[in-house]
Amino acid sequence: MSDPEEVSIEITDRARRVLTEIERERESNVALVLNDGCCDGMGPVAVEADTVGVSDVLIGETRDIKVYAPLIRENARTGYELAIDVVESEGVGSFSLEVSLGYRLTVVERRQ
Amino acid sequence: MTTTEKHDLLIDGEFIPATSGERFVTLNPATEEPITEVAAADKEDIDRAVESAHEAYPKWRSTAPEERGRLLTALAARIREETDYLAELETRDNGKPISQARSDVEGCARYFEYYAGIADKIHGDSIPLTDKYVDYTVREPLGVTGQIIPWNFPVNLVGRTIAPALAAGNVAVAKPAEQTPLSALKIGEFALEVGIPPGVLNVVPGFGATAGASLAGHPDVNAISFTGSVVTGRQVAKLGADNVTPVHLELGGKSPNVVFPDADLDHALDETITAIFATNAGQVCSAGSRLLVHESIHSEFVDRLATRASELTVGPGLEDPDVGPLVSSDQHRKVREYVEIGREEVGDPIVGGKTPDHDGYFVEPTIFDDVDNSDRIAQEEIFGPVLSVIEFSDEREAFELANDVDYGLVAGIFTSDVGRAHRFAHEMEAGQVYINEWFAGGVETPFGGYKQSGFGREKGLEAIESYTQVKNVCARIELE
Repeated sequence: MSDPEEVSIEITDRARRVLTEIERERESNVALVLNDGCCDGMGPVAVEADTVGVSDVLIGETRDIKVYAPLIRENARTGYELAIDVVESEGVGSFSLEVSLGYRLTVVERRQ
Repeated sequence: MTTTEKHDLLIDGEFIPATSGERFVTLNPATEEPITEVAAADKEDIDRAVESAHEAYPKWRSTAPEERGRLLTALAARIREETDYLAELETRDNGKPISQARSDVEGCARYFEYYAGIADKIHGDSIPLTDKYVDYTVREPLGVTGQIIPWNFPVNLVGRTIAPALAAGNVAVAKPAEQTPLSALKIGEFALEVGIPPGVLNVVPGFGATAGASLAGHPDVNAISFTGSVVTGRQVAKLGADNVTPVHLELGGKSPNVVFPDADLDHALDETITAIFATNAGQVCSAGSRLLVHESIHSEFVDRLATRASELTVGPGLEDPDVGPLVSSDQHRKVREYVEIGREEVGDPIVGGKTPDHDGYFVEPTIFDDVDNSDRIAQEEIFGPVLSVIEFSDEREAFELANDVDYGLVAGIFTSDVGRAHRFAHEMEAGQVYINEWFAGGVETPFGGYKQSGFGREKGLEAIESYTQVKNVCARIELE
């Protein structure tokens, strides 16, 4: 597992607000699972925190939001800075919880 | 073609608005302009669609298989009749070049035609158990099936996922992707026109987190087909597991396209272009996104490839370019982000990497050379017109590099050495192996993944097995 200190993660105010809205609606904490591949993109997937899978590994935390990567990609982001934001979206093929609110989480990943 | 028509949910043979009244806008990715508004299904609508399918199931299941076949044949013919209309609809909704959309429509018709012919040939086995017993198996439908259809081949995948389900006597609730819902709704309309009973095929566009999750987690759905990412696929599988519902997952790939010096290199060059650029702008699960090329031909082959890639036309799908726009702003952002990750990992691409300065979600065909197989752009599925080139020195290294990825959907090789081709086929951890042609195969050939690319098979006769369950009947016939 990556040392959380090796992945720097920040989240914008507006993204945190969207996640807060989801947490309020669902009466559940929200976590993010980083994704790649196929039709639903590399955007983080927002899930209810208690549904995070046993094969997801914690790579960091930002403003009380835990961020996970699938086990198979656990070291891929070592040394990266992640900037998580949200944009208004026309919809994407994702199960991510913010989509039905008309938003899509985004992530910009750069080496530190 | 109208752009003001509103599209509702197809439930129980009627087009109706969503219970919530919610609608979403589907955009033309070449212009970023709205095409139309579509009803957005949520849990209540999914419940209604599943209930409708459930009610339609006993009659459809008991419909004579040859009659199911006739109806599916009629649907195939209706789809072919409307090829021009459907292709234009698909190009406006998805962005892909019109000639590719036409090919996808033909593929959809072929699926219905192919499975129509199988409907009355779904046999069981007779198992010898001495003369005291008669034992036989029957293949029976599963019941209500759910299809969560992606945006990259919308009309084609309607055929791929729904035709075998209906042929085997199942009923269907299909949720097309919210980016590209229009062709699935039209196929649903055609199904009614040709006489497929109401409720047998329901089409419920909506968002993944609401409509998709409700469908995958519905207790009265008896099978789920999902195509998408690994993370979302796992969510679908978890939802299915709660109801002990079988799930078929097709979760993408990072497929190696391996070129040896003994190949017909002109042909390999053409196929490499097809594999990653000139098919749906690289938005293909089975794209050849890693080019593994032998060191002795690396420079010449990649130079020629770069020249060819730079000459590809990029533009609106209706102008039938080589490369159309990406499907959405989200996909556009994702691919551009991977281009930047690639720049950090290996430097500037040798060709492409830019986005044209006008509306539409376009990305130039892009090639990164001298990529290390451990780089993110060699391991993660970019799902766009971006190729990573990796050099190898011998067959052993090529095969190891080809397998050294979490995905296992497709592996392709270009060589004139028959023995090498079959050694490759034997060693590849992939559901499909292409030899001397990318995208080799057809509706008749099974398709699915190894490793993180998923499980279950679609296409071919295998799909019928995925959409049926086996019942064994054993009778003791010996008199006491």
